[in-house]
Amino acid sequence: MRPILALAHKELLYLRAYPLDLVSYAISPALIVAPYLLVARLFGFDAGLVDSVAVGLLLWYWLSTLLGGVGLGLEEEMEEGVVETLLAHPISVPTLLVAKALGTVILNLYITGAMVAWFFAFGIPLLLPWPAFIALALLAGAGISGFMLALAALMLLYKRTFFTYDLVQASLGALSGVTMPARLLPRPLWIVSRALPLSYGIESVRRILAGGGVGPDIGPLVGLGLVYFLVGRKLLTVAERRMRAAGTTGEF
Amino acid sequence: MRPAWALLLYTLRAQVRYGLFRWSLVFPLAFALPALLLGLWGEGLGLGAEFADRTGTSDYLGYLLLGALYWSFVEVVWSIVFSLQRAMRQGMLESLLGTRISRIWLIGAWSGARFAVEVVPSLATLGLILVLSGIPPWPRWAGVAAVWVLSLAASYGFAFLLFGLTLRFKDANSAVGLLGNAAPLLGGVFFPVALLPAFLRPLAYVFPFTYGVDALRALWLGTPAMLPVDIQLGLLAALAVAYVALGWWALLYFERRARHHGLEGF
Repeated sequence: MRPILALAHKELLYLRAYPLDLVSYAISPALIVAPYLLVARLFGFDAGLVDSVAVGLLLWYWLSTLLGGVGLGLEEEMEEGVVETLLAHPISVPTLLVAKALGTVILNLYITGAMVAWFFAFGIPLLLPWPAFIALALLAGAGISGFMLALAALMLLYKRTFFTYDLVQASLGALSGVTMPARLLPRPLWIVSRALPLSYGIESVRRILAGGGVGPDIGPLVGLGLVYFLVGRKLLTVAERRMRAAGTTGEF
Repeated sequence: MRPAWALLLYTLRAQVRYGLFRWSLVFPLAFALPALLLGLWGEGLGLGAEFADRTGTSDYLGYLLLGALYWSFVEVVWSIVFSLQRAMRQGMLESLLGTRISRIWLIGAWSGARFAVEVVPSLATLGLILVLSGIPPWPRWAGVAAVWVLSLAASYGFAFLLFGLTLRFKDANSAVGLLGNAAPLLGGVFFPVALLPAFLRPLAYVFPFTYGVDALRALWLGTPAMLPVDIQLGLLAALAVAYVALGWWALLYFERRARHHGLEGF
């Protein structure tokens, strides 16, 4: 546990070294999702529907940050040429990634607070039971951990994987019903959405927004998340082995 | 000229090697996707008339995609700061600055490579817009071309500023994050800026791309413009000149400060 805490601490120290990041994290995320909220207004959505879109976007942003923080987390180390040094230490790649996840979760709490303040400024007072939302966001984060590990595996092998990250992030958002409920998707896409843990996370969050409980979505969220985790873990192991065999710890 | 050309080819090859052009094929579509899905939902709820009332067109697919395409074009020049950040991380910046490539050619080479890799593939979305919304009437083509050219010039103004900020503060993500992520909102990429909260509207009106995207939609889709299109093009041109001058001054200023603090690395 101590290496994880030390590494997560190191991740957070970046924010002290580059305080402009903190300013950016307070402003940028809300501005990224706000155009979509204004499109909802453009179509004359009522307050309930706008809230439903806002909470979907909030959870999507939370999970996208986590996905990028872990899945692309080793990019900086690769560019700086320190991956070899890290691999020579008795700290495994999964340990490095868990530390990055921890750092990103702490950052996400900060980002969420700032986003909610911005939503308020846009006239969207998102009245959520926040402890339940945070718990669901963490659970949904665990649910997509397999995707994070798979992306990290791709990064070890192919070095620059922004294309895959952006594609996965955009597809997860569209298919999980971030801005439009997944049940309204065409039938084949709806079937795909049933295989994505994030779909269940978003539906649960919308249910608690409407004043209900988390409902029956937790089971599929955890079950599917576990399956993806095992697949992602296997991919990461194979990718690390291949990277070591090829000797390509940096770009090539 | 030759060193800059060599740098452009080197950057281009690195980008092709890692397949960076593939995302550009779908970027405008992916960027617009959440908005397009909202549009589909709104249409399903029978709210299409509300959209037409507020924008002046019922063609919401063309309206949203045109905004996304315009944004992907504008953004590409800004993203040169990631090339700068990469050079800093890899410890190459001092060597690059030690070559005979002037600052303007350095920026030209990086942005040229990004243009080739990112803008050309994004033309796939242009094809989709042409299918969905048709071709603008030919007397307006000159206006459409003027919007693209002037917007490109304004983009370089922002690119110079971000280049200088990255030299000084090192971390390009935060600088681009602040300016770049605010831009689609302030510029009204997917909506008329009249919908913005009152406290953001003044910022939108000093932002060149607000006039660019609004004029483009007016010329292409026939939506009502904020101001007569000729005046908007004049404002876009004036702001482009102002931002290029301001950006260049900021680049020189921040580079001088950065050299004082130690230019290289993090």
